[in-house]
Amino acid sequence: MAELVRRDTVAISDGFLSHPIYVLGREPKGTSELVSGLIDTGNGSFQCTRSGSKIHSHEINAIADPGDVFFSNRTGTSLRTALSQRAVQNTLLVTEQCDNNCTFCSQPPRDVPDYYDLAIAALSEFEGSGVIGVSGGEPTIHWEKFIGLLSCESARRRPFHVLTHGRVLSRADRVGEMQAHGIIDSVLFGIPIHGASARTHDAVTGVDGSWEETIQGLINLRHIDAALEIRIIITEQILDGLDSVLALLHSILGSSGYRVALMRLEPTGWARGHLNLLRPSISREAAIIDYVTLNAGVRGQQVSLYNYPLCLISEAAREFACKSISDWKNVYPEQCNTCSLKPQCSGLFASERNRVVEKLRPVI
Amino acid sequence: MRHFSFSSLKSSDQYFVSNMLGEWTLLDSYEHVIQCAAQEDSPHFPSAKLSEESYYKSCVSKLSRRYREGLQKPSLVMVVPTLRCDHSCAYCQVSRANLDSKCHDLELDAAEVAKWFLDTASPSAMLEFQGGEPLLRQAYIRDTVDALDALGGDRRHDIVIASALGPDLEADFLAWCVDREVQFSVSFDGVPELHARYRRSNIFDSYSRFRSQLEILQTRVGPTNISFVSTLTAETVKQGAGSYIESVRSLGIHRIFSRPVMPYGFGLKTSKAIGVKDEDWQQFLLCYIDELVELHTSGTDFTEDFFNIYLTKLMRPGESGYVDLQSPAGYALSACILNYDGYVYGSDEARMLYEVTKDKNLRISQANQPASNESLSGHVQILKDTFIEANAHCDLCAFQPFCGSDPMHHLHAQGDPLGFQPESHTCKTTRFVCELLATRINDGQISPSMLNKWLS
Amino acid sequence: MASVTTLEIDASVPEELILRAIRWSGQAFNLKKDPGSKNWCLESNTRLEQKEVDTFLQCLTEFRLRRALDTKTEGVRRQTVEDALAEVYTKR
Repeated sequence: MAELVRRDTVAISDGFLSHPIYVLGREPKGTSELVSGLIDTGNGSFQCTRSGSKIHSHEINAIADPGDVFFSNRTGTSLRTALSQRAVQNTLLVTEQCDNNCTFCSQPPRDVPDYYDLAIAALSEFEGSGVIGVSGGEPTIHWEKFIGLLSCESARRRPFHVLTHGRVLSRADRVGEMQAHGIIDSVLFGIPIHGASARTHDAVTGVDGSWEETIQGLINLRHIDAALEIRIIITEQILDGLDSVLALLHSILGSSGYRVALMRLEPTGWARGHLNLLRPSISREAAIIDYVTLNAGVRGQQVSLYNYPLCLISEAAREFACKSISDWKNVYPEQCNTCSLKPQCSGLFASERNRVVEKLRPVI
Repeated sequence: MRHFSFSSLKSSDQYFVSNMLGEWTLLDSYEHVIQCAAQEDSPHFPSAKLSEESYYKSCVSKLSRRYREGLQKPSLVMVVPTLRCDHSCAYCQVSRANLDSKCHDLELDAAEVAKWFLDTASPSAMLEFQGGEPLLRQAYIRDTVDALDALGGDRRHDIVIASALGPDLEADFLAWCVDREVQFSVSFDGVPELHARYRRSNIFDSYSRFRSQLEILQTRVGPTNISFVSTLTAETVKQGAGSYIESVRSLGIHRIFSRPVMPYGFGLKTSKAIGVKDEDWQQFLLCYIDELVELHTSGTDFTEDFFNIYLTKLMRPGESGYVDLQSPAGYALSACILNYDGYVYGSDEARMLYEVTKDKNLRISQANQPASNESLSGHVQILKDTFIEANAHCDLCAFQPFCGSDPMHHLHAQGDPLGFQPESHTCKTTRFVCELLATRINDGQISPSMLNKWLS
Repeated sequence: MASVTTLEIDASVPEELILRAIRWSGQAFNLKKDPGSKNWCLESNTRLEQKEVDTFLQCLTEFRLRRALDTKTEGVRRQTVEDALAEVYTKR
């Protein structure tokens, strides 16, 4: 069984975690009641600085370093690294609510309380640097809290990667607000698009008018030179129209100033239920990718392939592929050990190791 | 409804159709154009599905970006260290000076030139040395760039030297060039016999000299730092594109920028004899593109930068850095030149024109001096007419998004900066080349992989 | 056999479009208004072939269609250019 590239969760063998946030190795810097420190007292014992209570785990030090920040689970029995200095990129989930309803959503909307305050508190303790991902749900759905997070003191010197449908950015006043707070320069906006027309895109999101707003959001952001990563999740349904989407992006945004990420579908969330319908055949997907990347090259567009194992795409397409799967859900099955391209390859999602493994062919 | 522009093609009944976003396509007939105008069947642009609001916002955004970028500091800044030259090319347009002249060297010292450049150029501008023959002053070039690097803090500018490779290449200078990653833009007219004939020198056999010097240069700085510029006379064009390409390739060169000698200008008697007529140039280009397609199909690497200018404009509108065809004009905005006489001009052609006409209005200012109000208003006067979107000849033309202004060319050829497009070489060439490329792209003769290779 | 070619064009066609068509089709015409009908009279200096006349008339037709397109889009094109320029200057 392939190991995760980075484990992020540990169970507590003894004791109970009473706070939602823990910083490893010291007292918290701030005064937030949400945060406690977790000091190593030896032999797998850790003391909570706020309550004084002890917990046991021999695994904490294996997965985290002093200055890392954890979230505890609802029952207080496990810890998950929220912000780790070992991670290539840390991502903070700030809400599970969303006003789109995409058919293959990997993080389906749930009407539960949001986590902006936890995110701000965690960020204020974290000693690492590097890009901080902000995701959801839809991070902008609670606008003031969203702005609050990106403009708080501990956000100041940090680069962000915000995953958003961008609909609210069709409003000039919202964009203006972000500019006024000096937020634009430190954010890479990751915005998904599902079609070259309202008909195809709105069919995916389930919301009439969502394409129109997302498109206007893209135009507004490009206009102020915001960093843009336009994300297209590759499903059987979008394949025939994929080139048209990139052609449209070229028409409205020009050749440069943004990147297009073609993303292989992750079989989690709602996608998991109807993977047979959504997943294209590997050969068809590879062929369309060749076609689309060639045309994009002619137009001068930057294209990246995210989450594509190198043996599943053509040789010509490999120059566009990135190591993009978050380390905490990234695996390399056994047969990849003999592959000469493994160091550059993205590997698989942990959630799909059983489905796709037999299709992987190591390149000798 | 959406506005679109249409222009008839010369080679068929088709129409070239475009819009303000820079999208284009071909329609089969005038009837089809009328249908689109009546909105029975709109041109199939990618933007067709956009709402009116999105379409409009996108047009304004793209256009304002172009103006904004056009109004920034120059991205191509040239310096003429000397007008002296060791060649006497038949088609020379710079009014070169003799090798022993005492009054054709730039008299500013390196630091003054560096200061001028830093004040004038955009942070990412390219510095290009022109002449005469710049390599007659190798030490001066090196001192100027060193001064520039020293004064410029963390600014780092690309350096290009345009040269015919006549002068001996000093070893330290070459070593410095390697270190500094200097690019060379070398004059070679493609056909050895014609190169020798039209690029005479009193001191050496120009073709042999070119060959031996090129070999030294290639060995020292490497072929990736050398590009080639070719000037075609009526004779070359007559010999045809096939033999031209073969000749270029036989020297191991697989990328070149070719332009024709104008059959007029700069008071040369030879211009009429050796200049290339529009019809002949077009015929040459027609054969040339077919040769390029065949070469690519047979797996051979060869790129013609002349076509790349227009291909970039067609396939990547907004990305073209070609200063001589921009709207507003690149004249004085995207480019400028510090001439050997210590004066700043708005383009290469402007300083050439000055040499012949002695019209002081062509000067912008003295280097490191502010420009006078009179001078500025004169140049602004020229520039305000270079927005082709608002120009009476260009406003309704379908090739407009892929074209631009060339005020110095029109001033020179037709007597006024705006020009008279129906008789303009620039207009005719742009229309012809765009038609040629668009039809070949549309019918698949020029494939995406060809375009990808040529434009990479 | 007449040594010139004359054409009559309806008075409703703007002079400007006729002039553009003359320029771009490359045909040389003298342009006058008929005092009675107010229609335009075009007279060439030499006798033109039918093909040359057709070229000119097609050119004029196209300019009229372009003008109609422009009018139909209510000068959106001009407005776009003005807005784009305004964008640049307010930013600066």
